[in-house]
Amino acid sequence: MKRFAFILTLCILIGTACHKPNPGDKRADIVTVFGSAGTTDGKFSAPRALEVDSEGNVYIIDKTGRVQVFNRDLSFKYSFVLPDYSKGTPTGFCISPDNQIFIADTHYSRILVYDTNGNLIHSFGQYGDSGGKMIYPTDVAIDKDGNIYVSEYGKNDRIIKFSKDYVFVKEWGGAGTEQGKFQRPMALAIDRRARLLVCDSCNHRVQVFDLDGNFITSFGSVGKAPGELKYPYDISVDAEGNIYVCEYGNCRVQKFSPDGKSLALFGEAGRNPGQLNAPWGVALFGDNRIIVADTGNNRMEIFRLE
Amino acid sequence: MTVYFTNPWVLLLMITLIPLVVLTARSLIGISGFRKCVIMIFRSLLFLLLVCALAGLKLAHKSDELAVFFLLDVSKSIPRHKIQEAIDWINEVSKTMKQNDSAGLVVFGSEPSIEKNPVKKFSIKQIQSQVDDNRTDIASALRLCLAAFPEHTQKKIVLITDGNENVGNALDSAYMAKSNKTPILVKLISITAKQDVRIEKMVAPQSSVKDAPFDLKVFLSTQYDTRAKLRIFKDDELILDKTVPVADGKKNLYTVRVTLPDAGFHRFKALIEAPNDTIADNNIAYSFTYVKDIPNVLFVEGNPIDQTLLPPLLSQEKIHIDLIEPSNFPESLNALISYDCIVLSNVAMDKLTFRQMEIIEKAVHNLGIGLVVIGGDQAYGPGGYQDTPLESALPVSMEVTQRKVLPNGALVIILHTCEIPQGNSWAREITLAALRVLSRKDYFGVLYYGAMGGEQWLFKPTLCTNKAKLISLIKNVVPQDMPTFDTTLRMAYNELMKLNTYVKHIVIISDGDPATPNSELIKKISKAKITISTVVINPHSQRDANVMGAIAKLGKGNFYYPKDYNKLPRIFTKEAMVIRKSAIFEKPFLPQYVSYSDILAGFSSGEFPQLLGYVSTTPKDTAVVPLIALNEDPLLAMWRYGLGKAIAFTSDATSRWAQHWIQWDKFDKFWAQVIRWAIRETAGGNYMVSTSTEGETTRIVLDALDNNGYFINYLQPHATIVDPEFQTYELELTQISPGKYATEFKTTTPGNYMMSINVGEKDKPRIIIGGISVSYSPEFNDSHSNERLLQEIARSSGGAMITPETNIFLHNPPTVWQPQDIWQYLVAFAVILLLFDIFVRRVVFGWAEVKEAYMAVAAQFAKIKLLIQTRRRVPATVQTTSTLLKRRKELWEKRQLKEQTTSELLKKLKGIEPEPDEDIVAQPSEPAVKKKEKLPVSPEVASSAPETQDETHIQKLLDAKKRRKKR
Repeated sequence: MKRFAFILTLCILIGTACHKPNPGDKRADIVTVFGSAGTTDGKFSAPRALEVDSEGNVYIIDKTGRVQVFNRDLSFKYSFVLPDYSKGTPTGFCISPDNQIFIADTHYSRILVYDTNGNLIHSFGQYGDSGGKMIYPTDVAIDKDGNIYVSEYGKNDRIIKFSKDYVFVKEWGGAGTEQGKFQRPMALAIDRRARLLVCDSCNHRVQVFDLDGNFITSFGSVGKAPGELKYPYDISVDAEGNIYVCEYGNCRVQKFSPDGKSLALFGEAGRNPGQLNAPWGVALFGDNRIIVADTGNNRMEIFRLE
Repeated sequence: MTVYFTNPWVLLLMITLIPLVVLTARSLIGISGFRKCVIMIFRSLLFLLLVCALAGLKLAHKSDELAVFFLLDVSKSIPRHKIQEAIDWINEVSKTMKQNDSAGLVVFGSEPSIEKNPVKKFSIKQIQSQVDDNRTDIASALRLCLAAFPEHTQKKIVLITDGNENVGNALDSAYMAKSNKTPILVKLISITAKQDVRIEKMVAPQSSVKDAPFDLKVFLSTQYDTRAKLRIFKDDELILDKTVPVADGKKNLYTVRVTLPDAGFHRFKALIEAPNDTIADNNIAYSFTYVKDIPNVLFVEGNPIDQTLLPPLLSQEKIHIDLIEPSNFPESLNALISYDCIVLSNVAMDKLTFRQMEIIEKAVHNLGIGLVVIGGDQAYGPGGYQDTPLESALPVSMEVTQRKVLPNGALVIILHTCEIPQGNSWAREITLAALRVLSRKDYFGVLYYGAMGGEQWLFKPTLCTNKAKLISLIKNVVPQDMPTFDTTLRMAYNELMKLNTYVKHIVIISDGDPATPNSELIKKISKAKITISTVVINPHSQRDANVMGAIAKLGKGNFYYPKDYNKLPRIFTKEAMVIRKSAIFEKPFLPQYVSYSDILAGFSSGEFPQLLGYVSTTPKDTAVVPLIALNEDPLLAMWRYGLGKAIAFTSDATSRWAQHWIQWDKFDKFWAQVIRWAIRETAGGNYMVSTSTEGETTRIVLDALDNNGYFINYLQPHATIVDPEFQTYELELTQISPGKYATEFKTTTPGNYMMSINVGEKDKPRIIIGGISVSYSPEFNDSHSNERLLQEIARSSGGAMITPETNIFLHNPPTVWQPQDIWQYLVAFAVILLLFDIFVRRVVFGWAEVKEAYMAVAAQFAKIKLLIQTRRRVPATVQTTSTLLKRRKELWEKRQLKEQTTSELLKKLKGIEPEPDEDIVAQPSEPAVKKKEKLPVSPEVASSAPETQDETHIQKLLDAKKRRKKR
């Protein structure tokens, strides 16, 4: 009997040791996966843009033209629909310090401004090449003075700056691969050092400017290794200045230090929890979590930061 | 509840129980009587349990569940609003369902379909099932219901119909329902049409002679007397427009005398319009007549500018020519039947739909119509004939196999279709369309942006030798959003540069949203002689379309901006044809006459003028090739294909390649002979074909007479029928009397059936063509419900006609028992008994041991009970011995103090020293323990616990106290 029990225990131990954990089962990194494919409340159809406000409410825009808002406990709060989305849906937006939602209505060449009740307050921008006109705006950022920064691609591939009164201030960039030029800038973020970070997606890098458009530095090159990027589509900055870049091409989120050193990787290509499928968006969620728009899997994933 | 066995014969094994008991008794040597008895009982029980399990012992409970199937007739004879009323009634009645009831729905026309399986919460909003509604087959619907009922429930069918079945026999199914204990309740849909005028049929001779008059007969029927407007069309030309009286109950026959001056197939259409006519579907009828004369040829000209001169020349050769552009090619087979030959002159595949090519192939193979394909830069391989029905009909293959050095091409498609509706489905379709055109010597590759891996090859440029494998890969492609064109173009360029092919081509399909590619990259690609075409679909803005246009311009390719996605496959076919341009040879050559053929009677070798180009092809095995071009490539090839004949001429008949031929004095003779050779071979003599339709069966009768009027016997006529849905039937006609042959087939679908009857040999056919028209569904033959049939169905099945008082969900069908398997419990008990059996055999014990064991167990229970009771009575604070002693000491000290105080008082009072109380010193005062009941304690408990000694000591103290009190 004793011998039998010993052998049985030994077999169990060996079996456990031989079990190769599913790469997707990185449950230590995952807090939760929420949402699934669908068009009703709490469900998503290719969610591409998300943000979290100062109260922890989560805002998500997907291809159905809805802006869904969730409480910090991820329960559904309310939603509203964009005025038009037949040509396409926004790829980025931000929430200003005074809780206004600035949405880059990409295929309508404009910025929509909503209050947090879903009421449209203002709209500015039109199709064009200069003087504050834009073709495909991809994201919006607001600095502490209320100035508005818009990233744009489609011909001009640049950054446009507006005052808080929506008046055109300046623009910089242009299509290209050189320093200060862009190929499909997809996202913006402003850190506490008043630096503007730009996801230069088709150049597979992040460029850093001051708020007047002067180039400071850049990091990233095409690849899959830590420190390398592939189609960075979204960017967020935490209180310590750490940078989180959502990589559409590598199906992951990469964390960088303020000076661009790779610190961590979250996720990998796949459909299991902990895996991502062509993600488009990332945002800070609480003190130690990030929320990722897992676009191809029609859901959100929350990673714990360790 | 009742009990039964599914395999009762297994119970015969019980017979072996007695020998088993005897054997058991003998084998248990050395075992005491008691144990032996127990073992034998256990084994007998075990055996009985196993036998019962094997015999399939079941418990049967009476089932109180009722399942009802609603059977709804949705055929054309039921007005649509009646169907909706029936659905509303079903929903209303379903509200009376009880908890254990379930309901389902079957809809039927000529075939049944389960709309909803029986469910407990039943409701229907809209019928989703699609069934053919041209017939009513109640019988098959009833059979489906009977098979679909859940097991072990009471069953009931509710049939909702007008009773006008025209297929099957519902009564047979009703009897079947009764044997299945399934009554049928019938709800009649009343459809009395009080006013209906219809055309029963229109009769015309199958064939006629040019300019010979014949009678066209139209039979009318009506429910009421009225005057109706009768119109008759010949080939869409109105030949009669007359108001005629029609009377109820009378024969309404109208005859029109018709003369046909033109040869060919003629279609007649009759229309009737009457005031207050409630049914329009039965107001139209068709018929056909064939008039034989000079050959009738359909000439399809694919050269938009430099058109061939053939049509006028052929007309002079007594060949009637109908000249059309490819865009006007007929869409149906019956439109082609009047032609004896079809000529395609330099017609590219993208000018015809795949369906039209199928029609051409069927016209040649099944109806004996001839086919002549004249070449050019848009025909054969360059025209995309590869793997099409057209290639099947031709005597040449598009594969160029006889060369050592073969011109080939490489095509890469870049897919970005995820942004359009059904984009991924279109991606597959266009890729397949391109693959179909390519030959086995061509390379094909597909690039896209994948969900997990970014830009990737579905497959790199690969020879199309295994198209099936490539097709399986293409069917699984799911392109995602592409960030930029740069990466995929670069990948395509790198792979194409590794290949040594004659032509290299890239096609991009996208909405134009990805980042614009580097112009230097496109220039580099173009410099490497790789062309780029673009197709933009659903662009976000004109800017995106402009980007795509610019890429195509720089890439020296074509730019497409289709608004209709259905054109996409043709676009990609055309783009893939670019690869096949390598099959064109534009060099002067003299045709060589290599083998005699009737087609070239009167021509001699060396008299054919020079040609300036041709398309390279490969002759098929059984093709005859009398003329060849360079490298022994076929110039003129022909063969028999089914009932028809097909000819391929790989050069053209225009000034591009045939400028010397056009000036040749035998140019028209050559082409007249070519076309006459291909023309359909019709039967001579006197053949009369008649058809008659009864229900869904059509009978064909052939009367065969020779030119002298004698019967032609021992023929083996073979009919080929093409139905309205393009299905082909092959039928043999059997001789039923001298010179008369007949066959039958089903005509269930309304429409025109094309027919060709071969009265000759297979390799020398003589064809009679004709047509059968089934004007409208027999659903419109009956204008009243068939209540009598429905009553009979209800009676035969043990059901009833539904009245307003009928309770559909009344539990009155025959009792159904619901069996429950219990073999698993029997086996489980048997296993337990086995364990006990082993225990009893292994463990030696007798009554004394049993009694001892019983006592031990009883003592344990008593101890546990005592413990429980003790804990209930004793306060929460555990009264341990130390606590008692401590308490006793306190009380003793207190008493001592009290007595000392008393004695001191006494001493003060009396001046007397109190005497120590020996008892008290030796035996301190009793502990202040509350009086408690003496609990029964077992000797073992009393002796084992350390507290027992203390209790003895305490008892002694108590005794001492008592004694002192007594003093």
